[in-house]
Amino acid sequence: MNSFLTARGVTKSYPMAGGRLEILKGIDLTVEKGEAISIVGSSGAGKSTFLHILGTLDRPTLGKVLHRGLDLTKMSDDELAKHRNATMGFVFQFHHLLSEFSALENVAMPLRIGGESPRSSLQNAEIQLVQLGLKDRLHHKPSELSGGEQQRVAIARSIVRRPEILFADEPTGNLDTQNAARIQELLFELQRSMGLTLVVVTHDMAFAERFPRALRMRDGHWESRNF
Amino acid sequence: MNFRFWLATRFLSHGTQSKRFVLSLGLPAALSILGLAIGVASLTVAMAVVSGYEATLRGALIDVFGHLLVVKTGDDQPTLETATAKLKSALPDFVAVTPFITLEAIIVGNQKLNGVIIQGVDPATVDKVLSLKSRIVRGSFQLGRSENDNNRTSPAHALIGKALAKRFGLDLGATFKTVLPKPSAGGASAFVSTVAEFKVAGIVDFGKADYDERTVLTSISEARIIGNLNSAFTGLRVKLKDPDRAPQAAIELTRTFGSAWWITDWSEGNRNLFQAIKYERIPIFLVILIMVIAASFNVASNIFIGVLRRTSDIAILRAIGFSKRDIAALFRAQGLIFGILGVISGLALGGVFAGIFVWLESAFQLLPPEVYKLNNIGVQFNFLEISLVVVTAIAICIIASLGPATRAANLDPVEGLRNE
Repeated sequence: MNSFLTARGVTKSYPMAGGRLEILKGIDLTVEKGEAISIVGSSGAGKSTFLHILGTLDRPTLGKVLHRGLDLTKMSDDELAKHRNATMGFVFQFHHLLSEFSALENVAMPLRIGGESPRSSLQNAEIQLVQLGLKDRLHHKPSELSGGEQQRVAIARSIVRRPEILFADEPTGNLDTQNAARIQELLFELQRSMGLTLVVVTHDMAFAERFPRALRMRDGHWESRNF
Repeated sequence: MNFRFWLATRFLSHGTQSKRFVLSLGLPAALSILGLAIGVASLTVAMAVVSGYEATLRGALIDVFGHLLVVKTGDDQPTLETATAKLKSALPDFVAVTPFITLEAIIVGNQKLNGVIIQGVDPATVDKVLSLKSRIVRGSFQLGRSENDNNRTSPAHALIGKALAKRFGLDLGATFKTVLPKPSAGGASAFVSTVAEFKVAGIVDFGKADYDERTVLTSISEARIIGNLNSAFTGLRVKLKDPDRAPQAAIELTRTFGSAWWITDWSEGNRNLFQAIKYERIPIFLVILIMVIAASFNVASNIFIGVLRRTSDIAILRAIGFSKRDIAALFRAQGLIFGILGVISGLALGGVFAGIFVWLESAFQLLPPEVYKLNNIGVQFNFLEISLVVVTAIAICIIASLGPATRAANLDPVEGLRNE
């Protein structure tokens, strides 16, 4: 039986003078539906690269990534784009909100890309923002929001399409302690309430330890699978 | 509105909603659009002037010449009725005919001397074939003399070309004399001359410089008397349903009428000129199109700068479901938007330029009539030519956007997500 999300022998290397630079060295991983895992490791360990490959934003040099048995590494760019839009959400260290658009428009963006009408996508985006406590910030531009609010808008954008998997790359790395704690709580709450599969890359050991499964990466391979 | 097109307009306008869209584009984009607009305007005006020249020349010829000219060269003396019946049976698209008599003469006055063509036309039928009345700039359509003036005590009324009037200082009511030399039996170089006096009843803008300098119009009966002719007419002017069929009709008529008649059509004397206008359109279009192509490089660099500024936005759009193809379409749409704005402003600017050209042409006579054969050249906006300008300019802008669009599509989203 196929696992929900599987990485098999994922290798990523780049050509460089005198050989190849290996970032990932044959990584295997299996994640079950609704599972929450964290990946920690020092800078340059390859954890973000692995997250990007799992999220189909990057392709492995060798190896496979399977989602519900579908080999994502064999899909075309168009197919992957649709797959990402329909099943995956992303939160990054920096919010990456489109600066010219309001919070509402930013959150509606994945819905518009998925083919929803402007009216329906704005309505659903509003519901999502209200749920995350941003009712008074709907029409604010990103520059008019605090760091914590920006990240909550980014989270609203990542879950508005009801994805199966939420990938978060250092989601609290750019926030103060108080806001970081709120975002951490929010991610766990969403994972529980929506049945999300949550894969988080973080430097924050305390945050990582709160996950049922925590993985440590070092020099492109797993150092330990639980700590 | 298509989502990608909407996103492209919002990206260009820095997020501003539609009402303030144009104002929000920013100076670099506005300058790119201005460059395009100047190129499109030049192209539009150049095409409109060429079309206007052709239309003005054609209009002048048809108004003054008629569609077909049928001139007697033999000794036949057919009546107008016989000739008309023959024309009607030979030409299925025959509309009307008017007879005329042409005399060569010399005008003397104001211490000057000039060759002129006295043309006697039939006041009763001339309007059915020619449009002379609409070309009178001053005075009225009075030809020959009234029926009460049987004794020929006063000069006959005539209409004269405006250049002739200017050269000899003739205004309405002024009289002038013409001398008609005619060979006589006294030897090879012997001639007798007849003097005819005319009174200026009107001044005509024939549209063509050579007509304006040499034409004196009077009635056919007056011309017959001063030319001492027995025949009812020396030639006929014919109107057809379609002026463009005249060259073919002239060939058909030559077969019917035989060699005793010289038959030509309105375009015959200027065929080379019309051919030249037709063929020069293409090189003129292509040469001025270079301006639009040059302006499109500005568009390309503008979009390219947009791509570089938006690596992070492109990356997040890829993450939330845009494919490479969608990203490319987004920036191609920007090329389309630049093209549309450039074309709209270019056409408006072209209208202004054309108006200025017409004003300058009439005020300062930019194009010398002796070279271009016409006194006032109008501009004519041809739908097909405008459509060609619009489609070509927009296509060039889309082509200009292909480079930046491909670059944007191939940006690595991971790179864009690495930094804020």
